[in-house]
Amino acid sequence: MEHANFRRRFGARAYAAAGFISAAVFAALAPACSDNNNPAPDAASQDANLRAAWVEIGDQNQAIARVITTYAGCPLIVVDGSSSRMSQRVGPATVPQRTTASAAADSKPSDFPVTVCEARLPSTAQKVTVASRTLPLPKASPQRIAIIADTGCRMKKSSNSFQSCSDPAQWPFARTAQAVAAMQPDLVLHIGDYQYRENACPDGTAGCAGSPWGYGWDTWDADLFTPAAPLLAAAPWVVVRGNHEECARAGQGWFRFLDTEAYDVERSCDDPVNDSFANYSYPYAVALGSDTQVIVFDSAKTGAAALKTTDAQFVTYQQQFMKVAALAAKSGVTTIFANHHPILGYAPVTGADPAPGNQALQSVMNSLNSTAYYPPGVQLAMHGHVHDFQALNFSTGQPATIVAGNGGDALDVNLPDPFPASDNVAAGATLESISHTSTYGFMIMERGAAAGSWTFKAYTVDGKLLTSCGFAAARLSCDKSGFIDPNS
Amino acid sequence: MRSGRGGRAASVAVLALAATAARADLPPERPYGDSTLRYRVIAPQRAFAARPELAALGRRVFFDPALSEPAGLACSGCHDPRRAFSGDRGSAIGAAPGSRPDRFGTRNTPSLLYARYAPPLYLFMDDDAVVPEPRGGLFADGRIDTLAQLPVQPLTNPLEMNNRGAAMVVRKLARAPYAGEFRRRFGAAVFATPARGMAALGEALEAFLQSDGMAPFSSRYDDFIRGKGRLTAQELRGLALFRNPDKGNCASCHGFNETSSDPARSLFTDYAYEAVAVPRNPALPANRDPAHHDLGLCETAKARHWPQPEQWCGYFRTPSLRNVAVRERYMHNGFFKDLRTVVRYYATRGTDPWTWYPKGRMFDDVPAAYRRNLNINSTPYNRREGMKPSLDEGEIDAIVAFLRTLTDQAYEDRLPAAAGAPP
Repeated sequence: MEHANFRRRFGARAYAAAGFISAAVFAALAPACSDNNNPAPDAASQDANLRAAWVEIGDQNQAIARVITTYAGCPLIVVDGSSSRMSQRVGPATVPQRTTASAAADSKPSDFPVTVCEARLPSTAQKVTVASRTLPLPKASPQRIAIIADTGCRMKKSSNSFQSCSDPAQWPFARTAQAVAAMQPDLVLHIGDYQYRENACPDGTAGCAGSPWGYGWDTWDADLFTPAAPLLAAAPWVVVRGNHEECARAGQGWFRFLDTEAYDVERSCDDPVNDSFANYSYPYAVALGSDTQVIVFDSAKTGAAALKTTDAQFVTYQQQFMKVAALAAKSGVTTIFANHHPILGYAPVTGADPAPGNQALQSVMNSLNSTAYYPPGVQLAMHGHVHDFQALNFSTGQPATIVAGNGGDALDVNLPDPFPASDNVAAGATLESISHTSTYGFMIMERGAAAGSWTFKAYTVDGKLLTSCGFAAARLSCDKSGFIDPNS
Repeated sequence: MRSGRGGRAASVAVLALAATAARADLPPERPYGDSTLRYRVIAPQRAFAARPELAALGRRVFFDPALSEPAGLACSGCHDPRRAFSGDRGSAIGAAPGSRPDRFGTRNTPSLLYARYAPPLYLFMDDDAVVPEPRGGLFADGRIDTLAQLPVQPLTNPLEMNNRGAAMVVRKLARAPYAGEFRRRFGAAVFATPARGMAALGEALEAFLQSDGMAPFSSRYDDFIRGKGRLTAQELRGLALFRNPDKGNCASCHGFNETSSDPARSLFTDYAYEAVAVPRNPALPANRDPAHHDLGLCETAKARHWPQPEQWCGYFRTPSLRNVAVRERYMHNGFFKDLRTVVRYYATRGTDPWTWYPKGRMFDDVPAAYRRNLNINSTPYNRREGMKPSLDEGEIDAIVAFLRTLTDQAYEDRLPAAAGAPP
């Protein structure tokens, strides 16, 4: 990693002027306006060209409309009756093969034969359409927020793991997306790991036969955009980056499709020389109404071991957590911290006590906040990465923690029940209560009557309620504790 | 992330394969942080080629009863070709008698079919995993890496074929009717030293065990995945339950891929190790000593000088389930007599432990010091006492019905009557 170039380590976000929602910005990104009363036929705006369309929310609650099109140009977008052409985020390309998480023989160039278009939306927008699609818009005070993570279909040669991506029982993400969409959420929070189809399906294996592999558009389409289409149409998304989106994995697609910042070829993961820059992003906050915010943190490249203070990654993460502290310092606002790797959550290990939370991040957070780990203001942390559901409280004052990594990729084993009382997730953190299970599913957080209070509900993939956890004052109160039997 | 079975042991920083020499058939090891741990992120595939003439010689060795001491017990005596090359010679105690009928082995005889696919013992760590886990090796404790190294173990085990060393085996080999074939293939001096003789014997047996006849893939399940046959509704239900992570969850260890027409992708094992805590088998002579415990993988870990070998006590390698329905007995210690009871044990070990263990002596075949090694996480046995099992009796029947489809054609006549009502 590099130390010298602040921009290269922290991304364009740190250099950009504070993003804000304004018609001026929207206008700047929408150069070709037309009379909406008599729109001319526009080839770029034909439905048949569009492969995906969604809205995601970035820094300063900036809503961004994104479209993926097979057409050479970007379509028109109509915002409250005013039509303009979307800006090209990035055009088609075949990126030469780079070093990946797999052997070179099991890797290939990443082909992106699509154009990604975008438009920043004004906060006042009431109706936004692209072609015949009406895009979901953020609500000022979202009442129901869906939480999913770790949703892709595993195709991995090194572990000889090939989920049957065409079998909804074995890879249920499409079912998850449909079930969540049916609950009509106002917002979707995806906590990382979207794309798992890294290596070719073995010959003669019908369950994944014909599946694309590698890191190009086709894999993103198969793992995310097609199965998630109902959910992308249902609500805007807040996107968190997972370790499967680090540069040596699906990072190229992350920056083309999902990253909320302006596309920057130096932060594209196309060239491994820039990985030490592109594997990190500056944290930002998304307001969930006036009383709650979620801080989005990129831990894509974190390792497992505690970091030395001289480690470049330590320095990077330390500066990012300083930013987290600044974002969280809002009185009267409940702050939720969202990153992919559990920090005060457990990883199950058969035949041994569960493994503690991510020690690399813990080491950095401990340097700033001692055994509180999180800065003042953070009341809840949400993660994926471990493929199960966990809801944890601590008697030592740390924020409550939720893990929701059971969205579709192969599950992890259950945590033990009863949970070993002596097993601390981090130095100075004592577990007070835990509810957990390992079954496919998702979560819904529903706004409570009191400011900043929420109810977190865990569901199976088919929408069966597993447990309901009230949340207020940094504490979760679940109606079930210990192992939750998904069959009962 | 995916831990699958959860990987192994939080104390990984000191776990190592330091004493294990690099082998050509294993992918390179990688260091684990600053520790001495070395592991592999690519699972090795066992490579083998048909050697029909050598396999024919190995077959003669395998069926030769003159190689035991006293003579009378061939390899095939315990690895009974009528029972998919497994069996306990009808002992009814869970282990086979040796060439001296007053001596019994300490473990149930495993099937040798499909053994050619077992990789050498290695530590595997998926790049998403928290910790590495051991996989591979032959025998329930993984102490042998290759089929060529295998024969010396039973041939010189006093409880099995009882030769007093390799020299005695080689002397018998030199007098065998097929000794000339050994000399022709391996040189006139093949029996000049015990080491040379045993190496030749090992190579011949390896060729036999790697031959296609020892991996027939001729079961109804194989026909099913090749699109040449069907499974019944009950069998398909069993397959789904076998795979379902909320129900049987069997496939989390006994891996298979029913969507692949390549049956070698359905070996029904991941070659990993599991601490299941099978009840103590009081019928085994070795268990008359209450202090005796078969500790499994940790004995190998000690022999290979792995740090903290005790963390592997109670672990035994996950066997293939091919032909499981025609086994004489079940589990490493042969405690269980029928397949349905085994499945029922898995389903109710946690919820109804006193059906399986003497009252107050939970996990009675694992010393108290090692009970923390046991798997209490995995469905179906992660449930607490009194909870509803993840499988009901009808679902257990369905899983057994599916497991019966894994029987190769040659052994279908050995299938016991289909399971009926629960005991």
